[in-house]
Amino acid sequence: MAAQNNMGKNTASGGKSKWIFIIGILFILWLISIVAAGAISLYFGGDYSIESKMGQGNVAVISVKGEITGDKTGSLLLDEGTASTTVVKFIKAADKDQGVKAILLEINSPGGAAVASEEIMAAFSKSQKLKVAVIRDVGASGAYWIASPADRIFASRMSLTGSIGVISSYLQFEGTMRKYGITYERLVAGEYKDIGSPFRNITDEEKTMFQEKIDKIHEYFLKSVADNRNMSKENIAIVSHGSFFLGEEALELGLIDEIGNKDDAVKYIEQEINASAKLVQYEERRGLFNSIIDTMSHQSFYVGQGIGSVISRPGIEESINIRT
Amino acid sequence: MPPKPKVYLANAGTIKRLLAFMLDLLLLNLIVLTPFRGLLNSSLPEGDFESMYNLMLQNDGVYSTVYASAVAIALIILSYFVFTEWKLGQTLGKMMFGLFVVAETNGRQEKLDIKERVKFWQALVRSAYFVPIFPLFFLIIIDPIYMLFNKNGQRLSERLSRTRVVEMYRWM
Repeated sequence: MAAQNNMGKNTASGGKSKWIFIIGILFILWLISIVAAGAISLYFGGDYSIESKMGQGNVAVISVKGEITGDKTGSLLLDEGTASTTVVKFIKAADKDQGVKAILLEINSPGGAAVASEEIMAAFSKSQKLKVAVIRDVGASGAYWIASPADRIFASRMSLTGSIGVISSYLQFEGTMRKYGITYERLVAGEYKDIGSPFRNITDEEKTMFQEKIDKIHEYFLKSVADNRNMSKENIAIVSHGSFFLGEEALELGLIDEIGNKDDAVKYIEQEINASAKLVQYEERRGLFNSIIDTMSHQSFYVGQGIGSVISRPGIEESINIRT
Repeated sequence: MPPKPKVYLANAGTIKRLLAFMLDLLLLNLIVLTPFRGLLNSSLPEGDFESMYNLMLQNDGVYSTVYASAVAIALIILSYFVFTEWKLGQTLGKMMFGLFVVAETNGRQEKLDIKERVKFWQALVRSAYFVPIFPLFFLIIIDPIYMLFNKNGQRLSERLSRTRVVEMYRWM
């Protein structure tokens, strides 16, 4: 037993083997740690950062940046916008917190998906707290819609806002396909099933149908903004063209209430709640592991979707996005 | 033929032992805790202990994450001490300070031999305070107190495992 031992040996090889053993075991334990942390994250992990904000401050600051989408996207390196599910979750959490007296939406977005924008707008509108929105560089289209239920909207003189319109365009490849001798075999059950297909020209009838839908969405969008802002008919007529406005113009039209920045918004909140503001930023903290998993799952989904699209071509609901 | 150096083993000094232990913990903090840090950061709020504790009580997901992480971390750290002391008689910290873990020869406290390698069970028992099972983790408090009153400077878990941490002196 004792003879097997090399403890106490001062030979170079003995020392070297000890170091190799130590480095080896540390490397193995490091790998085990990564696997264990990953496994725990998968089984029990989650983002509890919202619950953790409870009671931390009296003004909930929620950012809406970039394109507004329905769900989170899984890019590891790029910030791909704001998901309505996340913002709605934050608004509801802030609303539940008795300590929160005001919700401050910090907007820097050109808009995005119509349904996603409406979801955020509806949640913000329902909130019982003091609602304040600050538009930074851009708060246009769907992003303006989100801000519209606020009790007070601030924007910079140079902010771009408005753009109350709906867009639903797509590329058509029929000409290119014809040039290269590629034909589109139309096999549908239901006359309009492949409406909006990029592989054939749209008919006049289909164009009219599309326009009707877009007009309806625009009408609803415009009415919602007008109701939220109590706008005059004249001003509604001006903004209905879908053009964008600078801060000063937006103030004249009643799209915003005041020229100012976040500090001005905070001062306004302090006056309204009659207390000094303690801001608490609602944001999702995503670990590297979650980001990697999200990215992998999204990439797998897109690969699967690509394969699937070869087998069955999508209908209108997949091929056309309606954006505000 | 040059004369063979005489080897004398003595109980390791408390300060050296403490420094070696701290060095090991520092190393483990870098290697083992780093992957868990990201996980815990994404699960727990930034803030004081009270808000973290309240969140844990209110949310099963947070509680499970923290508990599972604590168990995993404890077991990984335990593995480090057990395997290095079992196979080498030294952790990296002990290597840096020239300390060895030896078994008491034939269970006799008065006799020490550098060749007396610790057995697996002995390595496990002497690091029992890392085992995340009640009441073993109380050893982390009991062990250093026991050390103050033991004539060989042994922790309770060392006494139970019949092991000693020693320094080696040589002279011609």
